[in-house]
Amino acid sequence: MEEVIYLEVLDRFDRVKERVRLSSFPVEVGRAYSNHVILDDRYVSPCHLRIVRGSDGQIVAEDLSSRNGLFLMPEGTRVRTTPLGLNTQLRIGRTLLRLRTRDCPVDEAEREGIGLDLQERFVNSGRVQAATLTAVIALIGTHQYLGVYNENQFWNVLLDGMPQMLMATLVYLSFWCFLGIIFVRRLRFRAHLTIFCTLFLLSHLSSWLEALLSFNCVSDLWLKGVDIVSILFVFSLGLFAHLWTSTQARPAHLWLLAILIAGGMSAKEGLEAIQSRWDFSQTLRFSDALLPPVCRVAPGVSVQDFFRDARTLKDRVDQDRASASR
Amino acid sequence: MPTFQTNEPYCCPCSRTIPRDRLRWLWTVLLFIAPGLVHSAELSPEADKVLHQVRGALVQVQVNDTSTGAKACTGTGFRVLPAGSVVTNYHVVSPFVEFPKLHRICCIAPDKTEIPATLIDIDVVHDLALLKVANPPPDTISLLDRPAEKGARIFALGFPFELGLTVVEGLYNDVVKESLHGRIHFAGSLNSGMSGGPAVNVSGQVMGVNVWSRGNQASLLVPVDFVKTLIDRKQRPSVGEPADFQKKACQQLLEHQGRYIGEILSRPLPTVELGGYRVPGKLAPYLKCWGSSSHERGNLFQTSHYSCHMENEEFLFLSNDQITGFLKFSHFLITSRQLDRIRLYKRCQAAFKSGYPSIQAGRDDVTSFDCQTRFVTSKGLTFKVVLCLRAYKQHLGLYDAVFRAASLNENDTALVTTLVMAGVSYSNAVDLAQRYLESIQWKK
Repeated sequence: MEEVIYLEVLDRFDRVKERVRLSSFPVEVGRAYSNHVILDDRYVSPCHLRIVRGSDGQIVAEDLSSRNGLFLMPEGTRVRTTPLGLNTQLRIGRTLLRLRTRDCPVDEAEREGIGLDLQERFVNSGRVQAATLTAVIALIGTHQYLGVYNENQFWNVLLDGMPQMLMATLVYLSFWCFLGIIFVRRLRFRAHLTIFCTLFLLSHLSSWLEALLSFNCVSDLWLKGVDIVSILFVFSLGLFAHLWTSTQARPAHLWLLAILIAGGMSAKEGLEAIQSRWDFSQTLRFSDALLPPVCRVAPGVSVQDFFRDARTLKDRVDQDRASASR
Repeated sequence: MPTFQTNEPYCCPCSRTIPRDRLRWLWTVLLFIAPGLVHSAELSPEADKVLHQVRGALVQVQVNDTSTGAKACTGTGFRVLPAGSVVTNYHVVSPFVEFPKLHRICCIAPDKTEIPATLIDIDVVHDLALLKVANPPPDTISLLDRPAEKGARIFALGFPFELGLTVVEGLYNDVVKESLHGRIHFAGSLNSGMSGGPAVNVSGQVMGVNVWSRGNQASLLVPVDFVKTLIDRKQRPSVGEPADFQKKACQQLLEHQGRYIGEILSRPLPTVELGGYRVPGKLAPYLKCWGSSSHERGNLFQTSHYSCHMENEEFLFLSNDQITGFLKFSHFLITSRQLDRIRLYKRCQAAFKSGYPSIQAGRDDVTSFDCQTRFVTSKGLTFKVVLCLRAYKQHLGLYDAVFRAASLNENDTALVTTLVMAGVSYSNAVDLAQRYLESIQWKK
């Protein structure tokens, strides 16, 4: 069987840009149109490189007195000529070159990963995009409305902070779009907007949950725990989704990065909470949320029971005093 | 309302105790009341006579910081019989009681020499202290043994602002009505450094001890009867054991709170009507109650605020960092027919989570607060109730307690009520809080 040799042109991130089948030698490589392989790299000379096959069948690359030279990678040593094997990688200008034959092994296909497809469909679906955006606008409207306590100031309060909120959102989205332009050459504005809206809804959901728990007298220690878990969840999910939309990196790596960053943030929160618990403080720490009576889930106790239970509170405070005086 | 420290011109004129932003206020007050000072250069014949009669018994009391040798606090003292004891205010010697190893007490002789003094006994509640001085002043002053007449001329003496011995003429205005400590109202100016000095009648007999100034010639004196009680006391702390004074102070604070809270608990709590609720009203005669309501146009809700508190001069001074022995409570009512429940309770939450009156204390004095929160049902009403407690580190058995309850009922009126008790025993704190909560009723 005839030997098939490919010359692969890689970009500087090791991604294959072009694959040229070498059917006859010598093969000339450069920027000029006279070459067999034409490279659009401004650091490559018009006639940069020649690949020849010696009488013994050895393939050799020769520098054609180019301005910037020929380098053997990954060592980066400049050479005039070099024999080419399957493990040899050359660099001319900003372009990497290597040979490949029919027998070269390739990796097994990567698994698609659960939910990635769903996520793609989710953020790209027009219906989902419209629904999340509407939900966010409705939520902000309701939230602002709940701050209206004076009928003369209805519109003032309703529109209070809106321009700032809009600006902040645009800055946030443009950051991710900018990242997208760099890595995948696409804005994907609507996808990022949908991710943002979803995160906004999720974080509000978690703050409602916290308010509900706080109203139902769950201790502030548990509340802090819920807070930290929700930061971890919402933040890592959001970071992953944005990165996934604007880069081509592997999902496993993205998850790792997202969880590391979110984990760092929640660890900081947790440490601060622990520190503030140990520090002397004049503040009263208790679950202080108030919601309409209908949100009450926890049972009510009698006055006598409340003050009987206060004995454990006294014991805790006394213990605190004893440990401080030790 | 100025705080205890700034409103307390008699003690420790050390700049570290007065927050910088309040200094301007203080100077304004000082300038304003400066003309009220009568210095010995322009004395009336009576004042001149009194001054000559008692000056031999007066002494400047000073607490020195042992490491720097500089003064930490100054005041005035006077020698009474028997045995040459010198009487001054507790707050003048409080740095020594709090940190005995870091301070020593001395008296300044007219020739500016420092004479060592020993603390013999204290009365934290009436702000009195008894000193034994190695080389006491030559004379003594006698104590008045019969009640004075309102309007009588009296003379307060002391060493204000290190201006030298000063006599201030004023009028006797009887014992303050509806007061916890029964102090004498002296219409005359007391100034920082005069604390512990005597206020005498025209015959040179002590009627009271300088203790507090509210400015504008409204000053307070500790009645001489409490001085007599202190002098006659049989059991005294052991002089060689400075820790004994802390114990003594603790015992006096416990007895004091037992007395005044016990008195409140001995009767049914008086209540007042507030927007459909019956809530605790003026619990004791010495509490001052105030009210206010919102008037803003276009507001979708109305608020009413009712609060009762002791006057600052009734608080007990333990140290520059800690005041105790007081009681205050307040009711915040929010009513609205227009607001939905979410907004009503959102507004209520703002009142529930903030606006706690602070109880001044440092990390060496108290633990951090710990709280218990529950839903409580009482007389058909549901409340979200929080009780926060912290223990005194130096005074075993004393606590600061903050009790707050927010009503959660199906009507358009929400109530947030707060009871603050500083320096109380645990049992008194929970007993009073329980009675307080149980006395709240919905009348509509």
